[in-house]
Amino acid sequence: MATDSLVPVAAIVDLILGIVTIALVRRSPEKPWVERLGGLLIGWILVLKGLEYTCWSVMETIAQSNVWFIGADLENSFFRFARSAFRTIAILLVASLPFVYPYPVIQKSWNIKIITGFVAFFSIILSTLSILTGFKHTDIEWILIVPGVVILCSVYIRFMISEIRDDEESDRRISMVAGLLMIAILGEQMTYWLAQVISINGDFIARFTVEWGLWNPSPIGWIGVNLVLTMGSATILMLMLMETWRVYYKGLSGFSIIVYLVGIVGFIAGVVDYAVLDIVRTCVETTCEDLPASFDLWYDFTSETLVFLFTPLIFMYILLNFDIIDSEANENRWLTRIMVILMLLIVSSSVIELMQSFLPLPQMISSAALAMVVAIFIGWEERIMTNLMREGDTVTIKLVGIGELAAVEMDDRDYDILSFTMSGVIFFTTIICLLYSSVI
Amino acid sequence: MSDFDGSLSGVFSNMFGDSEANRAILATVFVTIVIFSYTGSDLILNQREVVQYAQTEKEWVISFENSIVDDDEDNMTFTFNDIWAHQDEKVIDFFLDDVQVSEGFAIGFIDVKIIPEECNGAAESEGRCENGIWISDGGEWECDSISATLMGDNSTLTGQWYDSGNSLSKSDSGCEPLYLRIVIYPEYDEHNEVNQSAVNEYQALSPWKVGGWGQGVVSVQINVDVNSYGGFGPLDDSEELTIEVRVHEFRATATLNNMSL
Repeated sequence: MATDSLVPVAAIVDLILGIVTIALVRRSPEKPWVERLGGLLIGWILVLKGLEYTCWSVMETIAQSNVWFIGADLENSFFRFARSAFRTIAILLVASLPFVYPYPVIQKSWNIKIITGFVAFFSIILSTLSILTGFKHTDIEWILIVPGVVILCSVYIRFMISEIRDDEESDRRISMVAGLLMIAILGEQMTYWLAQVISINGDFIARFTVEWGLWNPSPIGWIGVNLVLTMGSATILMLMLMETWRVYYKGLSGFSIIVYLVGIVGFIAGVVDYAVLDIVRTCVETTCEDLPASFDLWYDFTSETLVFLFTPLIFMYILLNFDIIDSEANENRWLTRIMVILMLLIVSSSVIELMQSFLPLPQMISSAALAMVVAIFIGWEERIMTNLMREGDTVTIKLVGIGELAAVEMDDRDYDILSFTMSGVIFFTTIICLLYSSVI
Repeated sequence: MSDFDGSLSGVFSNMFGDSEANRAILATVFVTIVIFSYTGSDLILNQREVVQYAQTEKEWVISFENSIVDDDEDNMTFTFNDIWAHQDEKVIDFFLDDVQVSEGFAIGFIDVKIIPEECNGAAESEGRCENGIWISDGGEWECDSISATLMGDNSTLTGQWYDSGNSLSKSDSGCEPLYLRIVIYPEYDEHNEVNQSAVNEYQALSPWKVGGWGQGVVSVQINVDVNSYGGFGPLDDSEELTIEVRVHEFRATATLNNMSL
């Protein structure tokens, strides 16, 4: 009952969305700097995640089919090194994003330069160190996202409280985008919140350390993993609490439903994790017993689907709904529409394929279902686009309105320098990974 | 744009200027620290140690408790007695499904002993054998030619048919018992102790816990050529044989060799 891997789909989705986002941001020069920089960082995050997933899916293919064309073993392969390097760079970009968007903490003309320098410097240092230390301290880079998550939490809480207390409807825009970014960044960890709260994730980490030959982190690496799991748990608990409070006063919203869904998935996952704890511990006590097929299926449909399919969709929603890219401009309109329909179609067809891999659905039925999805997307294209497009203020308009955004003049070249630097960093780390994998 | 100067202090005073929001932020930070503290200490203090222990190969001494599957305390599992006429060939089957291997034990090997009637294998049996002639008070008999084979072809018995410790076929005409042996469990050699490297007790014992061996039927084919001696004594035209089957079972236990720690 094994399902197909979603990693290749995630690679395609993230790469397409990332590249289109960067292109659209470049073609939106009239946008305020908060949106432009935020959009550019989101675009590069998606590109890096896409590259990471590409390496990951190649590793999966090699492991499954014994196809081999570079190097002699998976442990010292280019793809393993590159995957880790791209992941590190993506985390650095994620760590930088909350300093700019939705509530810019750094409001200076040099903020693009400092972010570019920070990401480039730490990307090269951390990627190289990771390779040279045999990935023993991998996951420690999660510590870097702590300030960003604190900023997002603070922004979410502050604007949520002011919305309800002062009845300021437009504050919801800021709290919602902060909440969506938290789910996009920590969504997977949020689905493990109950397991983390009752402290059984440690058993899973211990199992995976024993079971997976390619993952043997040092205590520092374990702290990084535990930290990100804890941040995921604390943020989803906070989100559930705050959204419940909001629902009481303002009624149910789409974002509240998303938060509750993630929370419920995390609760069920915690119960399921507890139920299989004896099997999880076999790796340490006896020999690793396989987890039940239904357990794997559950995670395929919850945590993995959230990470691989819905996270890019969340980013896409933020880009469009919060008017980060100028989707109304004539030259951007067709590209935006293609991107939206493409994203929705890829995700829908992947979910149908995922279901078909364990349900005895004939090909004819799944093809018909896919045709229906295509028809709906084409028929309702206008409605889908309208719903995705901006509904209210952008964060810039809101922040200017409350007098919390400085008038900063950015040099247009800084955006291009950021993109060139990111391209250079990717090129450099790729070369380092290639060289290292060929000499060891 | 507004008159706000964008200084870091200004940004933070705006962001954390709401005391009600600050209380909620502090509560979230506090919850995060609490969860991180107890999960982190469990992870580093307990799980880390467990994983290190689980990943370290240790030396184990595997000890074997050996016994014979025996329902009636006669120190044998099966016994069979019959008379073979001259040039008779008989195949005798012993069904291992009929015997109960002790809990936690596995069959190590099976010994088959074929005892001719003259000596009957007993020390107190009267008479003596000299140059293939059995001499007793009742007369003299030439020892019969007996050949015995543990039948491997088409056998349902799951065992190590090509093990060097096997003795699958024997023949004799000296009135001596014939001894056959088939090793059932892989690598089992009647040893009392072996050393094994493994990360835990379960994996150290796992080579000795494989099921499926020692099932089926033990088939013993016996041919007899009755030799008639021209001397004194009654005419000998048949041979009574006794077959004793001993199913040897074993149970392995692992003890951590403290020297390896």
